[in-house]
Amino acid sequence: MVNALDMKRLDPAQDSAIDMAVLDQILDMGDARLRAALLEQLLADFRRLSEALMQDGWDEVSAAAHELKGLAATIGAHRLAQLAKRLDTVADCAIPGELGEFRSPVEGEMRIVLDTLAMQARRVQS
Amino acid sequence: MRDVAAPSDTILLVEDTPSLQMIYAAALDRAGYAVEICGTATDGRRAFERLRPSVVLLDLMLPDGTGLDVMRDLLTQAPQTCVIVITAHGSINKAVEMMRAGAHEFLVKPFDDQRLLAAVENARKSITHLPTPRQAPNDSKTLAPFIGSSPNMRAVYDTIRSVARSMATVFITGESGTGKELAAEAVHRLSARARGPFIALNCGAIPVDLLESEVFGHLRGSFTGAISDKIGAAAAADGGTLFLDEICEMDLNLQTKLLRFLQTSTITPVGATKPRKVDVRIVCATNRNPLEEVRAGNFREDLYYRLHVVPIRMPPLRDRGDDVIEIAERLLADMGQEEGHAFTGLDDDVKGLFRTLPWPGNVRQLINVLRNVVVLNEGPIVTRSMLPPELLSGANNDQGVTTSVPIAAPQPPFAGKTLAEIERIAIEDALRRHEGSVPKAARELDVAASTIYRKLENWAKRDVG
Repeated sequence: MVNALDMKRLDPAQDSAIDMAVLDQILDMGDARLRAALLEQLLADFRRLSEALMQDGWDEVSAAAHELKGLAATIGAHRLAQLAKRLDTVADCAIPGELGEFRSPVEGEMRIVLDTLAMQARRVQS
Repeated sequence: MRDVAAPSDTILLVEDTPSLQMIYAAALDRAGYAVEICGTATDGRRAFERLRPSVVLLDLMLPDGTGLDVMRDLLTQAPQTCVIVITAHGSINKAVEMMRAGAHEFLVKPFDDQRLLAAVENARKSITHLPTPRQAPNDSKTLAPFIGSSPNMRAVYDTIRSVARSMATVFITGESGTGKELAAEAVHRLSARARGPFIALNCGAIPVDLLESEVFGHLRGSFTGAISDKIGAAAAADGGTLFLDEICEMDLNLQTKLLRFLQTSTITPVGATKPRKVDVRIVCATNRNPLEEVRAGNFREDLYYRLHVVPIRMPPLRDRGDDVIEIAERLLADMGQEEGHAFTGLDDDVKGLFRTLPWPGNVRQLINVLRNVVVLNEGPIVTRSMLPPELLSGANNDQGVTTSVPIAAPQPPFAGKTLAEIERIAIEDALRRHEGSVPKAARELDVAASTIYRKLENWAKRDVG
Protein backbone atom coordinates (compact mmCIF):
# COMPACT_ATOMS: atom_id res chain seq x y z
CA MET A 1 0.00 0.00 0.00
CA VAL A 2 1.37 3.40 -0.93
CA ASN A 3 1.78 5.73 1.99
CA ALA A 4 1.65 9.45 1.26
CA LEU A 5 3.91 10.09 4.21
CA ASP A 6 6.66 8.11 2.50
CA MET A 7 6.95 10.85 -0.07
CA LYS A 8 8.12 13.30 2.55
CA ARG A 9 11.20 11.16 2.93
CA LEU A 10 12.21 12.06 -0.61
CA ASP A 11 14.29 15.14 -0.12
CA PRO A 12 14.07 17.28 -3.29
CA ALA A 13 17.34 18.98 -2.48
CA GLN A 14 19.21 15.78 -1.79
CA ASP A 15 20.58 15.22 -5.27
CA SER A 16 20.17 16.48 -8.81
CA ALA A 17 17.02 15.83 -10.81
CA ILE A 18 18.92 13.82 -13.42
CA ASP A 19 21.96 11.64 -12.83
CA MET A 20 24.15 13.19 -15.50
CA ALA A 21 26.42 10.16 -15.70
CA VAL A 22 23.43 8.11 -16.88
CA LEU A 23 22.18 10.76 -19.30
CA ASP A 24 25.67 11.35 -20.73
CA GLN A 25 26.12 7.64 -21.35
CA ILE A 26 22.91 7.66 -23.39
CA LEU A 27 23.74 10.84 -25.27
CA ASP A 28 27.23 9.56 -26.09
CA MET A 29 25.81 6.65 -28.07
CA GLY A 30 25.59 8.72 -31.23
CA ASP A 31 26.97 11.79 -32.98
CA ALA A 32 26.04 15.43 -32.28
CA ARG A 33 22.99 15.20 -34.51
CA LEU A 34 21.63 12.19 -32.67
CA ARG A 35 22.36 13.88 -29.34
CA ALA A 36 20.36 16.93 -30.33
CA ALA A 37 17.53 14.83 -31.76
CA LEU A 38 17.37 12.68 -28.66
CA LEU A 39 17.23 15.66 -26.30
CA GLU A 40 14.50 17.20 -28.43
CA GLN A 41 12.52 13.95 -28.31
CA LEU A 42 13.01 13.60 -24.55
CA LEU A 43 11.64 17.12 -24.06
CA ALA A 44 8.66 16.32 -26.29
CA ASP A 45 7.94 13.06 -24.45
CA PHE A 46 8.18 14.57 -20.99
CA ARG A 47 5.89 17.47 -22.05
CA ARG A 48 3.39 15.01 -23.53
CA LEU A 49 3.40 12.93 -20.36
CA SER A 50 3.10 16.04 -18.22
CA GLU A 51 -0.13 16.92 -20.03
CA ALA A 52 -1.41 13.34 -19.88
CA LEU A 53 -0.95 13.27 -16.13
CA MET A 54 -3.29 16.23 -15.74
CA GLN A 55 -6.26 14.37 -17.23
CA ASP A 56 -9.21 13.28 -15.12
CA GLY A 57 -9.48 9.65 -16.21
CA TRP A 58 -7.80 7.05 -14.01
CA ASP A 59 -6.75 4.97 -16.99
CA GLU A 60 -5.05 7.86 -18.75
CA VAL A 61 -3.18 8.91 -15.61
CA SER A 62 -2.17 5.32 -14.86
CA ALA A 63 -0.88 4.77 -18.41
CA ALA A 64 1.05 8.06 -18.37
CA ALA A 65 2.55 7.37 -14.94
CA HIS A 66 3.59 3.88 -16.05
CA GLU A 67 5.28 5.23 -19.17
CA LEU A 68 6.89 8.04 -17.20
CA LYS A 69 8.37 5.68 -14.59
CA GLY A 70 10.23 3.68 -17.27
CA LEU A 71 11.40 6.71 -19.23
CA ALA A 72 12.51 8.70 -16.17
CA ALA A 73 14.44 5.74 -14.75
CA THR A 74 16.15 5.17 -18.11
CA ILE A 75 17.60 8.68 -18.30
CA GLY A 76 18.63 8.74 -14.62
CA ALA A 77 15.77 10.93 -13.32
CA HIS A 78 15.50 8.64 -10.31
CA ARG A 79 13.41 10.89 -8.07
CA LEU A 80 10.85 11.48 -10.80
CA ALA A 81 10.80 7.74 -11.55
CA GLN A 82 10.09 7.02 -7.89
CA LEU A 83 7.30 9.59 -7.72
CA ALA A 84 5.81 8.28 -10.98
CA LYS A 85 5.91 4.76 -9.60
CA ARG A 86 3.89 5.84 -6.60
CA LEU A 87 1.43 7.73 -8.77
CA ASP A 88 1.15 4.67 -11.01
CA THR A 89 0.27 2.50 -8.02
CA VAL A 90 -2.30 4.97 -6.71
CA ALA A 91 -3.89 5.49 -10.14
CA ASP A 92 -3.84 1.76 -10.81
CA CYS A 93 -5.60 1.04 -7.53
CA ALA A 94 -7.97 3.98 -8.15
CA ILE A 95 -7.70 5.23 -4.59
CA PRO A 96 -10.24 8.07 -4.34
CA GLY A 97 -8.96 11.38 -3.11
CA GLU A 98 -5.30 10.43 -3.14
CA LEU A 99 -4.58 11.11 -6.79
CA GLY A 100 -4.07 14.87 -6.36
CA GLU A 101 -1.81 14.33 -3.39
CA PHE A 102 0.46 12.10 -5.44
CA ARG A 103 0.16 14.03 -8.68
CA SER A 104 1.43 17.41 -7.50
CA PRO A 105 4.91 16.20 -6.44
CA VAL A 106 5.25 14.59 -9.88
CA GLU A 107 4.32 17.88 -11.53
CA GLY A 108 6.92 19.75 -9.49
CA GLU A 109 9.67 17.25 -10.19
CA MET A 110 8.68 17.09 -13.85
CA ARG A 111 9.27 20.85 -14.18
CA ILE A 112 12.78 20.47 -12.77
CA VAL A 113 13.57 17.58 -15.12
CA LEU A 114 12.21 19.54 -18.10
CA ASP A 115 14.35 22.56 -17.16
CA THR A 116 17.42 20.35 -16.84
CA LEU A 117 16.79 18.75 -20.22
CA ALA A 118 16.12 22.11 -21.84
CA MET A 119 19.42 23.40 -20.48
CA GLN A 120 21.21 20.36 -21.90
CA ALA A 121 19.51 20.89 -25.26
CA ARG A 122 20.64 24.53 -25.36
CA ARG A 123 24.20 23.47 -24.53
CA VAL A 124 24.26 20.91 -27.32
CA GLN A 125 22.85 23.41 -29.82
CA SER A 126 25.41 26.05 -28.94
CA MET B 1 -0.73 -23.07 -41.61
CA ARG B 2 0.86 -20.05 -43.16
CA ASP B 3 3.91 -20.02 -45.39
CA VAL B 4 6.94 -19.47 -43.25
CA ALA B 5 9.56 -17.10 -44.54
CA ALA B 6 13.18 -17.53 -43.50
CA PRO B 7 13.89 -15.58 -40.32
CA SER B 8 15.61 -12.25 -40.98
CA ASP B 9 18.52 -10.70 -39.08
CA THR B 10 16.66 -7.44 -38.55
CA ILE B 11 15.61 -6.92 -34.95
CA LEU B 12 12.02 -5.82 -34.48
CA LEU B 13 11.60 -3.28 -31.68
CA VAL B 14 8.02 -2.72 -30.50
CA GLU B 15 8.08 0.17 -28.00
CA ASP B 16 5.65 3.07 -27.77
CA THR B 17 7.80 5.76 -26.13
CA PRO B 18 9.63 7.61 -28.94
CA SER B 19 12.67 8.55 -26.78
CA LEU B 20 13.11 4.94 -25.70
CA GLN B 21 12.79 3.81 -29.31
CA MET B 22 15.67 6.15 -30.18
CA ILE B 23 17.81 5.05 -27.22
CA TYR B 24 17.42 1.30 -27.82
CA ALA B 25 17.80 1.68 -31.59
CA ALA B 26 20.99 3.73 -31.14
CA ALA B 27 22.51 1.05 -28.92
CA LEU B 28 21.61 -1.72 -31.37
CA ASP B 29 22.71 0.31 -34.38
CA ARG B 30 26.08 1.01 -32.75
CA ALA B 31 26.53 -2.75 -32.24
CA GLY B 32 25.84 -3.34 -35.94
CA TYR B 33 22.25 -4.58 -35.83
CA ALA B 34 19.56 -3.51 -38.29
CA VAL B 35 16.44 -2.42 -36.40
CA GLU B 36 12.81 -1.98 -37.44
CA ILE B 37 10.86 0.20 -35.01
CA CYS B 38 7.13 0.07 -34.29
CA GLY B 39 5.15 2.01 -31.70
CA THR B 40 1.93 -0.02 -31.55
CA ALA B 41 0.79 -3.62 -31.33
CA THR B 42 -0.87 -3.36 -34.74
CA ASP B 43 2.25 -2.05 -36.45
CA GLY B 44 4.35 -4.63 -34.63
CA ARG B 45 2.22 -7.50 -35.93
CA ARG B 46 2.36 -6.13 -39.49
CA ALA B 47 6.13 -5.65 -39.38
CA PHE B 48 6.56 -9.16 -38.02
CA GLU B 49 4.61 -10.71 -40.90
CA ARG B 50 6.67 -8.71 -43.39
CA LEU B 51 10.13 -9.24 -41.86
CA ARG B 52 9.91 -12.52 -39.92
CA PRO B 53 12.64 -11.36 -37.51
CA SER B 54 14.30 -14.00 -35.36
CA VAL B 55 14.55 -11.59 -32.40
CA VAL B 56 11.80 -9.24 -31.19
CA LEU B 57 12.14 -6.67 -28.42
CA LEU B 58 8.62 -6.17 -27.13
CA ASP B 59 7.31 -3.64 -24.63
CA LEU B 60 4.77 -5.08 -22.22
CA MET B 61 2.37 -2.12 -22.34
CA LEU B 62 1.37 -0.80 -25.74
CA PRO B 63 -1.29 1.80 -26.52
CA ASP B 64 -3.50 -0.60 -28.49
CA GLY B 65 -2.90 -3.90 -26.75
CA THR B 66 -0.73 -5.91 -24.42
CA GLY B 67 2.66 -7.36 -25.18
CA LEU B 68 1.33 -10.75 -24.07
CA ASP B 69 -1.31 -10.84 -26.84
CA VAL B 70 1.22 -9.70 -29.42
CA MET B 71 3.74 -12.31 -28.32
CA ARG B 72 1.19 -15.12 -28.48
CA ASP B 73 0.36 -14.13 -32.06
CA LEU B 74 4.01 -13.99 -33.07
CA LEU B 75 4.86 -17.34 -31.49
CA THR B 76 1.84 -18.98 -33.12
CA GLN B 77 3.13 -17.86 -36.49
CA ALA B 78 6.80 -18.60 -35.82
CA PRO B 79 7.46 -20.58 -32.60
CA GLN B 80 11.23 -20.32 -33.02
CA THR B 81 11.15 -16.52 -32.57
CA CYS B 82 13.00 -15.18 -29.54
CA VAL B 83 10.87 -12.54 -27.84
CA ILE B 84 12.64 -10.34 -25.32
CA VAL B 85 10.11 -8.58 -23.12
CA ILE B 86 10.75 -5.02 -21.96
CA THR B 87 8.99 -4.00 -18.80
CA ALA B 88 8.98 -1.21 -16.26
CA HIS B 89 9.89 -1.93 -12.66
CA GLY B 90 6.82 -3.12 -10.85
CA SER B 91 5.48 -5.23 -13.70
CA ILE B 92 7.54 -8.28 -12.76
CA ASN B 93 4.51 -10.50 -12.28
CA LYS B 94 3.38 -9.72 -15.80
CA ALA B 95 6.89 -10.40 -17.09
CA VAL B 96 6.83 -13.76 -15.34
CA GLU B 97 3.53 -14.50 -17.07
CA MET B 98 5.22 -13.63 -20.38
CA MET B 99 8.09 -16.00 -19.66
CA ARG B 100 5.65 -18.79 -18.94
CA ALA B 101 3.92 -18.02 -22.23
CA GLY B 102 7.17 -18.50 -24.14
CA ALA B 103 9.22 -15.28 -23.91
CA HIS B 104 12.95 -15.80 -24.19
CA GLU B 105 14.02 -13.24 -21.58
CA PHE B 106 12.86 -10.05 -19.94
CA LEU B 107 14.57 -6.73 -19.37
CA VAL B 108 13.45 -4.46 -16.55
CA LYS B 109 13.69 -0.70 -17.20
CA PRO B 110 16.07 0.92 -16.66
CA PHE B 111 18.72 -1.21 -18.30
CA ASP B 112 21.95 -0.11 -19.94
CA ASP B 113 23.09 -0.80 -23.48
CA GLN B 114 25.35 -3.66 -22.29
CA ARG B 115 22.40 -5.51 -20.80
CA LEU B 116 20.32 -4.90 -23.92
CA LEU B 117 23.06 -6.19 -26.22
CA ALA B 118 23.75 -9.22 -24.00
CA ALA B 119 20.06 -10.18 -24.17
CA VAL B 120 20.00 -9.83 -27.96
CA GLU B 121 23.26 -11.78 -28.36
CA ASN B 122 21.97 -14.59 -26.11
CA ALA B 123 18.78 -14.77 -28.14
CA ARG B 124 20.67 -14.95 -31.42
CA LYS B 125 23.04 -17.60 -30.05
CA SER B 126 20.11 -19.73 -28.94
CA ILE B 127 18.67 -19.59 -32.46
CA THR B 128 21.99 -20.52 -34.06
CA HIS B 129 22.41 -23.52 -31.78
CA LEU B 130 18.82 -24.64 -31.54
CA PRO B 131 18.92 -28.43 -31.54
CA THR B 132 17.32 -29.84 -34.70
CA PRO B 133 15.34 -31.73 -35.56
CA ARG B 134 13.02 -31.30 -32.62
CA GLN B 135 11.86 -34.46 -30.93
CA ALA B 136 9.08 -36.23 -32.74
CA PRO B 137 5.68 -36.00 -31.02
CA ASN B 138 5.53 -39.79 -30.46
CA ASP B 139 8.64 -39.50 -28.26
CA SER B 140 6.86 -37.19 -25.87
CA LYS B 141 5.78 -39.93 -23.43
CA THR B 142 9.29 -40.34 -22.10
CA LEU B 143 12.40 -38.27 -21.64
CA ALA B 144 15.72 -40.03 -21.11
CA PRO B 145 17.21 -40.74 -18.63
CA PHE B 146 13.91 -40.62 -16.72
CA ILE B 147 12.00 -43.88 -16.49
CA GLY B 148 8.23 -43.84 -16.40
CA SER B 149 5.35 -42.42 -18.37
CA SER B 150 2.73 -41.64 -15.72
CA PRO B 151 0.59 -38.56 -16.46
CA ASN B 152 2.45 -36.62 -13.73
CA MET B 153 5.82 -37.34 -15.30
CA ARG B 154 4.60 -36.67 -18.82
CA ALA B 155 3.60 -33.20 -17.67
CA VAL B 156 7.14 -32.76 -16.30
CA TYR B 157 8.68 -33.90 -19.62
CA ASP B 158 6.49 -31.45 -21.55
CA THR B 159 7.50 -28.55 -19.31
CA ILE B 160 11.19 -29.44 -19.62
CA ARG B 161 10.94 -29.58 -23.40
CA SER B 162 9.07 -26.27 -23.58
CA VAL B 163 11.35 -24.36 -21.27
CA ALA B 164 14.65 -25.76 -22.53
CA ARG B 165 14.95 -23.47 -25.55
CA SER B 166 14.34 -20.25 -23.66
CA MET B 167 16.64 -18.46 -21.23
CA ALA B 168 13.96 -18.59 -18.53
CA THR B 169 15.09 -19.49 -15.05
CA VAL B 170 13.72 -22.84 -13.92
CA PHE B 171 12.75 -23.52 -10.31
CA ILE B 172 12.48 -27.22 -9.52
CA THR B 173 10.76 -28.34 -6.34
CA GLY B 174 10.13 -31.81 -5.00
CA GLU B 175 10.90 -34.18 -2.18
CA SER B 176 14.38 -35.65 -1.83
CA GLY B 177 15.04 -38.43 -4.29
CA THR B 178 12.50 -37.33 -6.91
CA GLY B 179 15.09 -36.51 -9.58
CA LYS B 180 15.50 -32.73 -9.35
CA GLU B 181 19.08 -32.80 -10.62
CA LEU B 182 18.11 -35.13 -13.47
CA ALA B 183 15.46 -32.59 -14.47
CA ALA B 184 18.02 -29.78 -14.37
CA GLU B 185 20.39 -31.78 -16.56
CA ALA B 186 17.58 -32.50 -19.00
CA VAL B 187 16.77 -28.78 -19.27
CA HIS B 188 20.45 -28.15 -20.05
CA ARG B 189 20.78 -31.05 -22.48
CA LEU B 190 17.76 -29.99 -24.54
CA SER B 191 18.74 -26.31 -24.58
CA ALA B 192 20.84 -24.37 -27.03
CA ARG B 193 23.54 -24.42 -24.33
CA ALA B 194 23.93 -28.20 -24.44
CA ARG B 195 27.49 -27.88 -25.72
CA GLY B 196 28.35 -25.56 -22.83
CA PRO B 197 29.14 -26.68 -19.29
CA PHE B 198 26.56 -27.88 -16.75
CA ILE B 199 27.78 -26.91 -13.30
CA ALA B 200 25.92 -28.18 -10.24
CA LEU B 201 26.42 -26.66 -6.82
CA ASN B 202 24.75 -27.86 -3.63
CA CYS B 203 24.20 -24.71 -1.58
CA GLY B 204 23.38 -26.80 1.50
CA ALA B 205 26.61 -28.80 1.44
CA ILE B 206 29.02 -25.88 1.52
CA PRO B 207 29.79 -23.89 4.68
CA VAL B 208 28.23 -20.42 4.56
CA ASP B 209 31.57 -18.58 4.66
CA LEU B 210 32.87 -20.49 1.62
CA LEU B 211 29.73 -20.36 -0.47
CA GLU B 212 30.33 -16.91 -1.96
CA SER B 213 33.75 -17.99 -3.16
CA GLU B 214 32.30 -21.24 -4.53
CA VAL B 215 29.68 -19.35 -6.54
CA PHE B 216 31.59 -16.24 -7.62
CA GLY B 217 35.23 -17.30 -7.22
CA HIS B 218 38.03 -15.45 -5.44
CA LEU B 219 41.39 -13.85 -6.06
CA ARG B 220 44.56 -15.06 -4.43
CA GLY B 221 45.08 -13.46 -1.01
CA SER B 222 41.53 -12.15 -0.76
CA PHE B 223 41.08 -14.05 2.52
CA THR B 224 43.04 -16.41 4.73
CA GLY B 225 43.52 -19.65 2.87
CA ALA B 226 43.00 -18.16 -0.60
CA ILE B 227 46.38 -19.36 -1.86
CA SER B 228 45.52 -19.06 -5.54
CA ASP B 229 42.85 -17.57 -7.80
CA LYS B 230 39.73 -19.70 -7.93
CA ILE B 231 37.15 -19.62 -10.65
CA GLY B 232 33.66 -19.83 -9.17
CA ALA B 233 30.75 -21.94 -10.34
CA ALA B 234 29.09 -18.96 -12.10
CA ALA B 235 32.18 -18.32 -14.24
CA ALA B 236 32.72 -22.04 -14.81
CA ALA B 237 29.17 -22.24 -16.16
CA ASP B 238 29.77 -19.39 -18.67
CA GLY B 239 27.97 -20.34 -21.89
CA GLY B 240 26.12 -23.13 -20.09
CA THR B 241 23.86 -23.78 -17.13
CA LEU B 242 24.42 -23.25 -13.42
CA PHE B 243 22.37 -25.58 -11.24
CA LEU B 244 21.94 -24.33 -7.67
CA ASP B 245 20.60 -27.19 -5.59
CA GLU B 246 19.11 -26.61 -2.13
CA ILE B 247 18.79 -22.90 -2.99
CA CYS B 248 16.74 -22.20 0.15
CA GLU B 249 19.82 -23.07 2.23
CA MET B 250 21.67 -20.07 0.78
CA ASP B 251 22.70 -17.37 3.22
CA LEU B 252 20.62 -14.16 2.97
CA ASN B 253 23.68 -12.00 2.22
CA LEU B 254 24.63 -14.25 -0.64
CA GLN B 255 21.05 -14.20 -1.88
CA THR B 256 21.47 -10.44 -2.36
CA LYS B 257 24.59 -11.05 -4.44
CA LEU B 258 22.86 -13.75 -6.45
CA LEU B 259 20.01 -11.33 -7.18
CA ARG B 260 22.50 -8.72 -8.41
CA PHE B 261 24.14 -11.37 -10.58
CA LEU B 262 20.77 -12.27 -12.11
CA GLN B 263 19.97 -8.62 -12.78
CA THR B 264 23.31 -7.61 -14.27
CA SER B 265 24.74 -10.90 -15.62
CA THR B 266 28.04 -9.89 -14.03
CA ILE B 267 30.07 -11.49 -11.27
CA THR B 268 32.66 -9.98 -8.98
CA PRO B 269 34.96 -12.63 -7.45
CA VAL B 270 35.82 -12.16 -3.77
CA GLY B 271 38.71 -9.69 -3.63
CA ALA B 272 38.16 -8.36 -7.17
CA THR B 273 37.16 -4.81 -7.94
CA LYS B 274 35.96 -5.15 -11.51
CA PRO B 275 32.85 -7.11 -12.40
CA ARG B 276 33.01 -9.65 -15.21
CA LYS B 277 30.21 -10.42 -17.64
CA VAL B 278 29.07 -14.03 -17.86
CA ASP B 279 26.39 -15.72 -19.90
CA VAL B 280 24.74 -18.27 -17.63
CA ARG B 281 21.32 -19.85 -17.42
CA ILE B 282 20.18 -20.55 -13.87
CA VAL B 283 18.28 -23.63 -12.83
CA CYS B 284 17.66 -24.05 -9.10
CA ALA B 285 16.02 -26.59 -6.86
CA THR B 286 14.81 -27.14 -3.35
CA ASN B 287 13.03 -29.84 -1.38
CA ARG B 288 11.36 -27.16 0.75
CA ASN B 289 8.33 -25.04 0.00
CA PRO B 290 10.02 -21.86 -1.26
CA LEU B 291 7.02 -19.63 -0.55
CA GLU B 292 6.99 -20.76 3.07
CA GLU B 293 10.70 -19.93 3.22
CA VAL B 294 9.88 -16.45 1.90
CA ARG B 295 7.17 -16.03 4.55
CA ALA B 296 9.54 -17.25 7.25
CA GLY B 297 12.11 -14.63 6.16
CA ASN B 298 14.67 -17.23 5.09
CA PHE B 299 14.42 -16.49 1.40
CA ARG B 300 14.30 -13.06 -0.29
CA GLU B 301 10.97 -12.38 -1.92
CA ASP B 302 12.49 -10.47 -4.87
CA LEU B 303 14.92 -13.33 -5.51
CA TYR B 304 12.05 -15.80 -5.32
CA TYR B 305 10.12 -13.96 -8.03
CA ARG B 306 13.26 -13.58 -10.13
CA LEU B 307 14.00 -17.32 -9.94
CA HIS B 308 10.49 -18.72 -9.89
CA VAL B 309 9.82 -18.07 -13.57
CA VAL B 310 9.08 -21.58 -14.75
CA PRO B 311 8.36 -23.91 -11.85
CA ILE B 312 8.71 -27.66 -12.26
CA ARG B 313 7.32 -29.83 -9.46
CA MET B 314 8.80 -33.30 -9.40
CA PRO B 315 6.07 -35.69 -8.25
CA PRO B 316 6.83 -38.09 -5.39
CA LEU B 317 7.15 -41.75 -6.36
CA ARG B 318 3.89 -42.64 -4.56
CA ASP B 319 2.02 -40.33 -6.99
CA ARG B 320 3.52 -41.88 -10.11
CA GLY B 321 1.29 -44.94 -10.44
CA ASP B 322 2.95 -47.85 -12.25
CA ASP B 323 6.20 -45.92 -12.76
CA VAL B 324 7.47 -47.57 -9.58
CA ILE B 325 7.22 -51.00 -11.24
CA GLU B 326 8.83 -49.82 -14.47
CA ILE B 327 11.69 -48.18 -12.60
CA ALA B 328 12.18 -51.19 -10.32
CA GLU B 329 12.32 -53.68 -13.20
CA ARG B 330 14.74 -51.53 -15.21
CA LEU B 331 17.00 -51.03 -12.18
CA LEU B 332 16.82 -54.71 -11.29
CA ALA B 333 18.10 -55.71 -14.70
CA ASP B 334 21.02 -53.23 -14.48
CA MET B 335 21.93 -54.09 -10.89
CA GLY B 336 21.59 -57.81 -11.51
CA GLN B 337 24.08 -57.53 -14.34
CA GLU B 338 26.50 -55.55 -12.16
CA GLU B 339 26.26 -58.07 -9.29
CA GLY B 340 26.19 -61.19 -11.48
CA HIS B 341 22.70 -62.19 -10.25
CA ALA B 342 20.09 -62.77 -12.94
CA PHE B 343 16.98 -60.87 -11.81
CA THR B 344 14.13 -60.69 -14.29
CA GLY B 345 11.33 -58.96 -12.39
CA LEU B 346 8.99 -58.64 -9.40
CA ASP B 347 6.27 -61.09 -8.47
CA ASP B 348 2.68 -59.84 -8.34
CA ASP B 349 2.65 -59.61 -4.54
CA VAL B 350 5.71 -57.31 -4.55
CA LYS B 351 4.26 -55.28 -7.41
CA GLY B 352 1.11 -54.73 -5.37
CA LEU B 353 3.14 -53.79 -2.30
CA PHE B 354 5.36 -51.36 -4.24
CA ARG B 355 2.29 -49.59 -5.64
CA THR B 356 0.97 -48.91 -2.12
CA LEU B 357 4.15 -48.06 -0.20
CA PRO B 358 4.58 -44.35 0.65
CA TRP B 359 8.25 -44.28 -0.46
CA PRO B 360 9.28 -41.28 1.69
CA GLY B 361 12.77 -41.45 0.17
CA ASN B 362 11.33 -41.74 -3.36
CA VAL B 363 13.48 -43.23 -6.16
CA ARG B 364 16.58 -43.02 -3.99
CA GLN B 365 14.88 -45.27 -1.41
CA LEU B 366 13.73 -47.66 -4.15
CA ILE B 367 17.32 -47.92 -5.45
CA ASN B 368 18.60 -48.77 -1.96
CA VAL B 369 15.92 -51.41 -1.45
CA LEU B 370 16.68 -53.05 -4.80
CA ARG B 371 20.43 -52.92 -4.24
CA ASN B 372 19.87 -54.71 -0.93
CA VAL B 373 17.72 -57.35 -2.66
CA VAL B 374 20.13 -57.93 -5.54
CA VAL B 375 23.22 -58.18 -3.34
CA LEU B 376 21.68 -60.61 -0.84
CA ASN B 377 19.66 -62.81 -3.21
CA GLU B 378 20.21 -64.82 -6.37
CA GLY B 379 16.98 -64.12 -8.26
CA PRO B 380 15.38 -64.47 -10.69
CA ILE B 381 12.06 -62.99 -9.35
CA VAL B 382 11.86 -60.63 -6.38
CA THR B 383 9.51 -61.99 -3.72
CA ARG B 384 8.26 -60.43 -0.46
CA SER B 385 10.69 -62.58 1.58
CA MET B 386 13.66 -60.92 -0.16
CA LEU B 387 12.66 -57.38 0.86
CA PRO B 388 14.37 -55.64 3.79
CA PRO B 389 12.32 -56.18 7.00
CA GLU B 390 12.15 -52.45 7.81
CA LEU B 391 10.39 -51.84 4.48
CA LEU B 392 7.79 -54.46 5.35
CA SER B 393 7.35 -53.25 8.92
CA GLY B 394 6.73 -49.77 7.54
CA ALA B 395 4.14 -51.22 5.20
CA ASN B 396 2.47 -53.27 7.94
CA ASN B 397 2.31 -50.36 10.36
CA ASP B 398 0.51 -48.33 7.74
CA GLN B 399 -1.65 -51.16 6.47
CA GLY B 400 0.35 -50.59 3.31
CA VAL B 401 -1.60 -47.48 2.44
CA THR B 402 -0.41 -44.07 3.44
CA THR B 403 2.61 -42.49 5.07
CA SER B 404 5.16 -43.20 7.75
CA VAL B 405 8.86 -43.58 8.16
CA PRO B 406 9.95 -47.08 9.19
CA ILE B 407 11.64 -46.17 12.45
CA ALA B 408 10.97 -48.39 15.41
CA ALA B 409 11.80 -45.84 18.14
CA PRO B 410 8.84 -44.30 19.99
CA GLN B 411 7.92 -40.85 18.70
CA PRO B 412 8.43 -37.95 21.15
CA PRO B 413 5.27 -36.07 22.14
CA PHE B 414 4.77 -33.12 19.77
CA ALA B 415 1.48 -31.72 21.01
CA GLY B 416 1.69 -28.03 21.77
CA LYS B 417 5.15 -27.63 20.20
CA THR B 418 6.09 -25.29 17.38
CA LEU B 419 7.40 -26.69 14.11
CA ALA B 420 10.90 -25.41 14.94
CA GLU B 421 10.77 -27.16 18.32
CA ILE B 422 9.59 -30.40 16.73
CA GLU B 423 12.41 -30.17 14.20
CA ARG B 424 14.93 -29.80 17.02
CA ILE B 425 13.44 -32.73 18.93
CA ALA B 426 13.55 -34.92 15.82
CA ILE B 427 17.17 -34.02 15.06
CA GLU B 428 18.36 -34.45 18.64
CA ASP B 429 16.49 -37.73 18.87
CA ALA B 430 18.15 -39.02 15.70
CA LEU B 431 21.57 -37.89 16.94
CA ARG B 432 21.02 -39.70 20.25
CA ARG B 433 20.07 -42.92 18.51
CA HIS B 434 23.14 -42.68 16.27
CA GLU B 435 25.45 -41.87 19.21
CA GLY B 436 26.06 -38.34 17.99
CA SER B 437 26.93 -39.24 14.39
CA VAL B 438 25.73 -36.30 12.28
CA PRO B 439 26.16 -38.09 8.92
CA LYS B 440 24.12 -41.09 10.14
CA ALA B 441 21.40 -38.85 11.59
CA ALA B 442 21.35 -36.82 8.38
CA ARG B 443 20.95 -39.99 6.32
CA GLU B 444 18.05 -41.11 8.44
CA LEU B 445 16.34 -37.73 8.32
CA ASP B 446 17.12 -37.40 4.61
CA VAL B 447 18.77 -33.99 4.88
CA ALA B 448 22.28 -32.78 4.14
CA ALA B 449 24.73 -33.19 7.02
CA SER B 450 25.59 -29.50 6.69
CA THR B 451 21.97 -28.65 7.49
CA ILE B 452 22.29 -30.42 10.84
CA TYR B 453 25.68 -28.84 11.57
CA ARG B 454 24.24 -25.39 10.85
CA LYS B 455 21.22 -25.99 13.04
CA LEU B 456 23.39 -27.26 15.90
CA GLU B 457 25.53 -24.14 15.56
CA ASN B 458 22.47 -21.87 15.66
CA TRP B 459 20.97 -23.66 18.65
CA ALA B 460 24.26 -23.48 20.51
CA LYS B 461 24.48 -19.74 19.86
CA ARG B 462 20.86 -19.22 20.89
CA ASP B 463 21.28 -21.35 24.03
CA VAL B 464 24.38 -19.40 25.05
CA GLY B 465 22.75 -16.04 24.25
